[in-house]
Amino acid sequence: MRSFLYGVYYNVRYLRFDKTLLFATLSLSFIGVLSIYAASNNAESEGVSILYLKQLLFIAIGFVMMFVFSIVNYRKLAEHSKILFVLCVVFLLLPFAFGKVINNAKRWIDFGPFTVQPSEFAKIVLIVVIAKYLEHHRAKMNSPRYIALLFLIVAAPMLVIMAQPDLGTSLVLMPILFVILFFGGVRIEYFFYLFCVGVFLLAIPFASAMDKTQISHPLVEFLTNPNYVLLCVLLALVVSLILYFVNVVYRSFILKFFMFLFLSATIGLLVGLFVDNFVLKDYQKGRLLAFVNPYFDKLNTGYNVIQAQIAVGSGRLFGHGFLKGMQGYLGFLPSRTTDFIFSIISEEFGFAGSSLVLGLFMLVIYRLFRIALEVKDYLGGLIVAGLSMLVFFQASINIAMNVGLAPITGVPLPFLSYGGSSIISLYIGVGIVQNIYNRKYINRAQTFQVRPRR
Amino acid sequence: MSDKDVKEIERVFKPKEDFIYVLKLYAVNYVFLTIFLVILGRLFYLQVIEGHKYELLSLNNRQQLVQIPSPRGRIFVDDGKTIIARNQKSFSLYFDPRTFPYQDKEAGFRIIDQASKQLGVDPNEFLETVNKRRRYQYRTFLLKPNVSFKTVAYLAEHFEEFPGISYESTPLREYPEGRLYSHILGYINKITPKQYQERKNLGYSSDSFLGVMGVEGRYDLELRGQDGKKVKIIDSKNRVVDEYTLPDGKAVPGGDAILTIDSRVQNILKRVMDGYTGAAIVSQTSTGEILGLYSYPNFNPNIFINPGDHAQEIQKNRENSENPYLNRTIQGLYPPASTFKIVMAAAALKNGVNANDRFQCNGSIMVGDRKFRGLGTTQKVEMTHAIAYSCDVFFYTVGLKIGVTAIGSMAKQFNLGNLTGIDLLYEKAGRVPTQRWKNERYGAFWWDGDTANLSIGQGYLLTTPLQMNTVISAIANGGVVYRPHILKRILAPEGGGVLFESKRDPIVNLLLSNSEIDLIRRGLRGAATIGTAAAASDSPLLIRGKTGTAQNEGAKNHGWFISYVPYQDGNLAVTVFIEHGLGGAILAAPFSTAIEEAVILGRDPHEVFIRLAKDRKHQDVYEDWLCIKGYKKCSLPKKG
Repeated sequence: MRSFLYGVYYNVRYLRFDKTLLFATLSLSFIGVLSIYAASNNAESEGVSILYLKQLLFIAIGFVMMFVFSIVNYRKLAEHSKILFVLCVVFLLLPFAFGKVINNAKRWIDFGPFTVQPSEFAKIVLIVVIAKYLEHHRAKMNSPRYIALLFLIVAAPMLVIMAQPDLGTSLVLMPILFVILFFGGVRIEYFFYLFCVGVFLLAIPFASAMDKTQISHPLVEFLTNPNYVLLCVLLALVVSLILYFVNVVYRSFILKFFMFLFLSATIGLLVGLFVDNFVLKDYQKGRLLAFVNPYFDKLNTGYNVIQAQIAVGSGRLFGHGFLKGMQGYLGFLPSRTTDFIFSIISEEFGFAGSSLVLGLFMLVIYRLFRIALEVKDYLGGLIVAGLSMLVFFQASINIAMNVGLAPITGVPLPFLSYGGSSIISLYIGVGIVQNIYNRKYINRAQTFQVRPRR
Repeated sequence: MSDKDVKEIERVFKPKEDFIYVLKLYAVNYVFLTIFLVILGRLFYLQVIEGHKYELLSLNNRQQLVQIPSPRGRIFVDDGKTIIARNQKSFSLYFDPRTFPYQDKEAGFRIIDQASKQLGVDPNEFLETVNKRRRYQYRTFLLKPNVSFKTVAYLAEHFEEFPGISYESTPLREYPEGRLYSHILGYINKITPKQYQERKNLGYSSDSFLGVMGVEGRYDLELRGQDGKKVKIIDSKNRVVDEYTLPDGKAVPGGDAILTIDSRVQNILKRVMDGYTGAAIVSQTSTGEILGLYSYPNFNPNIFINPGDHAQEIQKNRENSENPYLNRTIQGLYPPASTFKIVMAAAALKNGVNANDRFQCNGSIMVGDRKFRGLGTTQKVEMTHAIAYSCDVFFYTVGLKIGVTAIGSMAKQFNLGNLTGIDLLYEKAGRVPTQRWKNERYGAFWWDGDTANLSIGQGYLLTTPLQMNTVISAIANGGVVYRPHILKRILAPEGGGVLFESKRDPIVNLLLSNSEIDLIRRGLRGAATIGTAAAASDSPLLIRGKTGTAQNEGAKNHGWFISYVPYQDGNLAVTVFIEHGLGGAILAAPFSTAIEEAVILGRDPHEVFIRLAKDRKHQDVYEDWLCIKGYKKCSLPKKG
């Protein structure tokens, strides 16, 4: 107990914050509050709803949580990663038991006035868990066994999240896993094969979306015919097998490269076919279709894409001014406080506002980069990398879907979108980063000022 | 410090010394930067380069251009107080192609189905509008005019079920007197695509209403005013959030028209004529002003305002063999028969026949190898008598004497065969035959028999009742053919003064001398006292007139009576034409007398008929009239 209190004192005494990171995240949050205020100012409702006040409360809670997590030693936190992981999966399962159903999805645990979305917190927990796992097995990370185990570890919560169903959030986990694996020392070529698998996997759903919008191209026709694809899969498998046996006799880097290439094509196409036919739901296919050509069904699937683009574009250089965005006010823009909050900002503050938000995100990423360069341990580096991927991926995917560069996924814009779970979990993440940043001073303090007592 | 802490210090990681780590960090962050820059580029493209386009799209999203139909000018009768065409407040349904779910066929058909069930929109018409309007955007199109308040309330309540349908308050044309003025007023109808193409430059829109017949048609431009334009701001659920009129978008109401029609005269015409297919005109002889103009059967012009709701009646009228849409006063073409003898008399006097010249009145005359018969007294008579007794043989002889060219030229001078120029649409010119015309039309030569026929107003000659009204007017006013008109003036809206005033418009002066005119007038007076129109003889009025009985092969004859009677400072010309009305003397002349007595003496028209019914001759015909009008019990089926 004494040592715990001492530790707390110790941490608070030497607490340092990366003020730029704090400034950037808080700025984003307050821009978010303003935009939520603007977004809930609607012709439909009388007066502005209290959503922005709730968001302010979330930010306050998040701020406190950030403070707490900047004090709690992240190493100590990571040591409990197994318990954290189990808790995380249980927490994720809770919505199935007594969740709140919104839009046919069980993502939220109902706490009366507030609902909690466990998947948001799961992202942070998984970053810590994966980072810890990698640090622990750092030397063995190129053995397929450990990679497979890691994939299994990630697959468990991912499948639960997918089942909620929340494809967007579960997809966010993938790049986080990859970036931590990347820093964790997994061989680069694996990432190349993974990339190939990803390309082949995405090719089929995209092709079928294009086919539906009546884009005819030989490649599209080829990919939308399951018989051709299966034939192709078989062929690729045979080729890769042949290459494997040849490689046994004549060992060659190039042979091995092509073998894996064909193998990844086999896996990618097979999984793609499976995903297209059994995993993707109609609305998800519709989103792909709307991404390929929003005007094909402009009043249904394409509506959001078009309206968001109109909102962004109509902002022009300096926007219509605060509370004067018509797309939002007249309700043409859907999900104004969450998924499409960026469109509100872009419409009311123009290119000036939208590039400011983008700039603040860049600043956050830059600060995370600087902190990652200064970390005192491997675990810290991996956690910062994971968190920066989290912020970057969510921000870029969300903004890209607002401007028509990505299909619509329900990924919120970090720090800006309305949502307590998202805000609080992100500030917990920032707290952990501040803690990692802090450690470098503490370590210095330990090195230079404190002599160990016996 | 515990061992653990020490271990921790040992594990100190110096990232800057780990080259691979730093390299990866840079690589990842450059990828991040690149993607952010791509997004920034996209933002720049959308907001700065293409911003204008999206701003327009955003405007189009929320703006709806709505035409504000201008209130059409009212129409008054000559007292300037009695309104016979006015505007009522009403609602119209509009179609907004932008919010209609074109992509989703099923939803589209559901809306059409619902609209036809709940809002009473004709599904076929709606579908046509939907298909036609696909390429137009961002403005609304008239879907259904004049819907009930109940329908609008339903729509307002269930707005979200009807994407693509909106409503507007619009002025609605109304004809309070119904069928009384149908052929004078005409009606308005939604402009057809063809009419719209012809009138695009005159400020008509594809949703405009266009006057089709009558005054509405003839003075459409003056009456219609100028449509306004309004912008409505709508939200995503298609609700109107705000609306404002564009700076130059105020609707300008049309001018009010005042007609020369006297509502009392018109009502008398209706009283007398209803039930008898035909036409009646009362006009001022010295100005050409029409005081009453009535054609029976007629129609209720209100049915065309919302044709969808009255399709049955419109169709029934169309199928009616009597054709209520035909304005018999200006479109009915009939042989003028003996009324033409007025023209003949003038022609004879101008072509060397003296007033004292006597010719055979009765019997027959051989023209070529054909015998032309006629009725009348036996003696040779002077022209006055010939007019009074309508001596056919007299006019055969005179006609053959002066020839077809002389007759034709006098007829042309009376403006027969030409449009009278009345300010109503679709007037017919009739026909004055010539030798050349017959040759071209039938490839046969004109022979004396044709001349003989022409001389008694039969054969190829065709006139409208209005033309014969101008003939009698010319005799009454001393030989001037005036252009008949029905519009007195048009007043600018809101007391803006007179926009247009009809003037007395003489077309031809026949240059008949006083003695020639007197001779014809004496003949006409004779007809109305001792001659063919003896029915008028009981009247205290100084009626001068000429009967006509147009022979109609295989059917009952048509009856004419054209007359004039002094009234106030001038004369009133009264023309009555009755299809299948037996002889002019039997129905047309009594009708005319009834009209004149009613107009001038204020008598009830049925008094004339009661008087006539006492007579033994054609007693049943007058009893029929009394019976049709409900003055007498009868077993006859009621007509009209």
